[in-house]
Amino acid sequence: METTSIAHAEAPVEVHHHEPQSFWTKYVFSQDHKVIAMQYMITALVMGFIGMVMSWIFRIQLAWPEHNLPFLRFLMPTNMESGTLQTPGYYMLVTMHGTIMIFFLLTAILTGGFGNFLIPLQVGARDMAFPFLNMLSYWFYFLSCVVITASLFVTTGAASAGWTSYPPLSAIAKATPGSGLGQDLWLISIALFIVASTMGSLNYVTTALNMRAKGMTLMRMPLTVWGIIVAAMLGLFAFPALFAGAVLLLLDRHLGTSFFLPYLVVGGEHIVRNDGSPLLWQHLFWFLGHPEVYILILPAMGITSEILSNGARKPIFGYKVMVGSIAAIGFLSFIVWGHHMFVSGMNPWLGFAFVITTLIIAIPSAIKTFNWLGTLWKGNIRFTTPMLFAIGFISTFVTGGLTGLFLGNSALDIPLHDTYFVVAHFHVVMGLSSVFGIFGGIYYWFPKMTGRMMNELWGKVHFWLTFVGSYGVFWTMHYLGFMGMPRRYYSYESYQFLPPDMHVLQVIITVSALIVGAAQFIFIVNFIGSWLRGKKAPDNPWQATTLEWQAPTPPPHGNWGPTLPVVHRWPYDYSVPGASADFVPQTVPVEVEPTGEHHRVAVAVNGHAHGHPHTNGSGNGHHS
Amino acid sequence: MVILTPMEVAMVTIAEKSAERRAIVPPPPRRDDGWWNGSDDPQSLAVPSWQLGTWIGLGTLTVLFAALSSAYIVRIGGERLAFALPQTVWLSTALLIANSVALVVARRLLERRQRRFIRWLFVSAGIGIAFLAAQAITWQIMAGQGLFLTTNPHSSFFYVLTVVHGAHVLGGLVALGRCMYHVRQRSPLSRMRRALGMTATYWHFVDAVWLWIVALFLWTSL
Repeated sequence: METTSIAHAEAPVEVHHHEPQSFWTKYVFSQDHKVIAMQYMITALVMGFIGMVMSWIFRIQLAWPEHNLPFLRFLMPTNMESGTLQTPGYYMLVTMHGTIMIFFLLTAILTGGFGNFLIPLQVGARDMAFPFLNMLSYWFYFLSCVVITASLFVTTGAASAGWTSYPPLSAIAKATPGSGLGQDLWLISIALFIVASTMGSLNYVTTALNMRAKGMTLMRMPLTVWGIIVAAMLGLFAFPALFAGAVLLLLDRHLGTSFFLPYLVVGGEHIVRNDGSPLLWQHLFWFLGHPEVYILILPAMGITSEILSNGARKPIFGYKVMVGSIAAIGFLSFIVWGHHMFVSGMNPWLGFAFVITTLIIAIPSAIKTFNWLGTLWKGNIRFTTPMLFAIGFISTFVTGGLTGLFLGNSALDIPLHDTYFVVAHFHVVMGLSSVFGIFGGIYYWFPKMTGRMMNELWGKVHFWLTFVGSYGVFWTMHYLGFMGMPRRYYSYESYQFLPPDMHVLQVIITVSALIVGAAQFIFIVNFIGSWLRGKKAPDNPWQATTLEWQAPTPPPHGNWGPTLPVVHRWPYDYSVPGASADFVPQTVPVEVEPTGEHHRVAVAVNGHAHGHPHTNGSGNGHHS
Repeated sequence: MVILTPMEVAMVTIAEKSAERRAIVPPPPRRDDGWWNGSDDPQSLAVPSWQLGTWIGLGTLTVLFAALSSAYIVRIGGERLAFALPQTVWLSTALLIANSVALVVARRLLERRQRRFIRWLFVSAGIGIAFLAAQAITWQIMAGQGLFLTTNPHSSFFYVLTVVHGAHVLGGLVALGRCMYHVRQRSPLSRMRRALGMTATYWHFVDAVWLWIVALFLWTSL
């Protein structure tokens, strides 16, 4: 206790005690976690939109090769001469689609967006531990977005060595047009992004560990917070490997070193270097690359758990095991990176070790899935839009997780490697699942963020089109993978081993992708329209238990008014036997006496007019 | 110059003795952050947030240096170090050890609320600058022997590791500058403590990384 009070005496006050007044400090260089969350979220959604448009263009190329699309000349002046997508342009789009989606959309929105918004609100803090660092994090992220977007417009085009940027392709400017300035900008942008992510993650972990409200023990934290902080830790301890790789690759490119570059003959010209190791890059890249996919999935898992428990009106099944599984997945994600390199010629025994660690991840993943189904089991399910997305998450996570078992096994991975089966697998398990988590989260917390509800009907239309359309895209891709169709090819017409009628599947995929794309416009219109003139949201529209719903809507600067909330119970008290409402907020004391007094006390404690439906009685008020 | 270390040790002893004699040790001020962090019994770990944040950040930097070091080990694949480390490396090592000592002294003096800690901030900054100068000499000696960034994987990694480390030394100088700024601004004790605490922890880390780098190259020269 003594240490705690000393710690508190030294607690940082690097924050403004008064609400910032000017436009610049309030909306632009804001240090308020909620504003930073919105900045992250909107920037990430814009980047995601750009990434999605890119996928349409290369999907059109795959379904209707070299189709003339004159209007695209305006989007891509360099690689779309005469309106047809050229080969370098195709590689550029595929590379940038992957990079933008993984880093600039998914990572940014899940940790930067949801992490920023939810952590202080769900643990009962007024803001992040280091608000200035938090602001810096966003602006570094913004800068990295600017650099990567700018790289699309350099004369040689953006990076085109794949989102994995394997050397020597990414190390020699002559290798492809995009390996010129575009690749440099890619590396610089990723380095900036890593700096941004590190500053943000530092905040998320510290805040959740050290700034919890009274009574908010670690095992009373919502699973969202658990998912996000474990993801943040993965980022903190995995991203530096890629940062090191990026520095070394820049040196190889410009200062003539040979970290990754072997002796090569490119276009008849001998590139004489010391015999560098391209595999070294792969190790450094995948040491980040694999934890990265869990950085994307763990927060989405947390969001899903939150929404499922709320929508099923049942406590989450196996809370402690869920926390344990998140931690186990986080730990295991650091020792599986070699499963991306089964065909790199690694020692089969090493590959075998990576197979084992990879397959072990199936255990905590399956436990989590079982617990989600257990939560839904006999629940009084409300099929709201967020709930639909949460259920959609389970579906895609199971589908993609099962193909992960195929690919984690080196004997199966070697024939399937670099085919569309892999593309389908990671899009379903990592792309779709996180996107479903994100959409669920946006629909769920939008009322708290903006004070307005999103439209339910259009939300459901958005869900069903996205859900069915996405399966149309990626289910189909599995078959192409079985046929042996390799990924990252501009055109498949000259490959004899592919039957000509596989082209039908290509068309199905592209049409589905365009339908999914169209569905996102429904979301955009719903998002903007609801923000401007949606139905006013009550403080707790989903009748949820966690702390953020006890804050005013939208939460003011400092979140909680004069007094911080006090937590008395775990976050999933839904359908508690004997309680009058089917949910009991975390702020309601456990000892209740039927005096009717509690309601008043709770209102005073929470400092807003609505209060919450009380349990079958009330507290004696000693907690205030 | 190498005898700096025992000299520094002697200075620590003197400083500590006199600090003990003269220090008036009032109870640490209880800083009430009131409205902002006002939970009177928050659920937090037994370390202040700035310390937790510093440690986590250093964890991240550890991975950065671990990645570069393991890349080096993998890249050379058991080959012996292809050159002799310049002797100036030992000067650098001594300087950084002395720097850690200086910061320990500064921190203790601050805990005893003695303004003389300021002078130790300058000592530390001076040592930091001297270290960078020593590094520059090391690089020049290597260049004089025809060992450049591109010469062989050993020299490549030697330059990369020492330059990345040097960048972190620069960061440490910035942190010291921030402490001096707080002194100038007459910031409250808690803030001063926090700034110096972060700076000292960071510098200890940077110094430890240097020892690791030297050990790594000694190991590969075996």
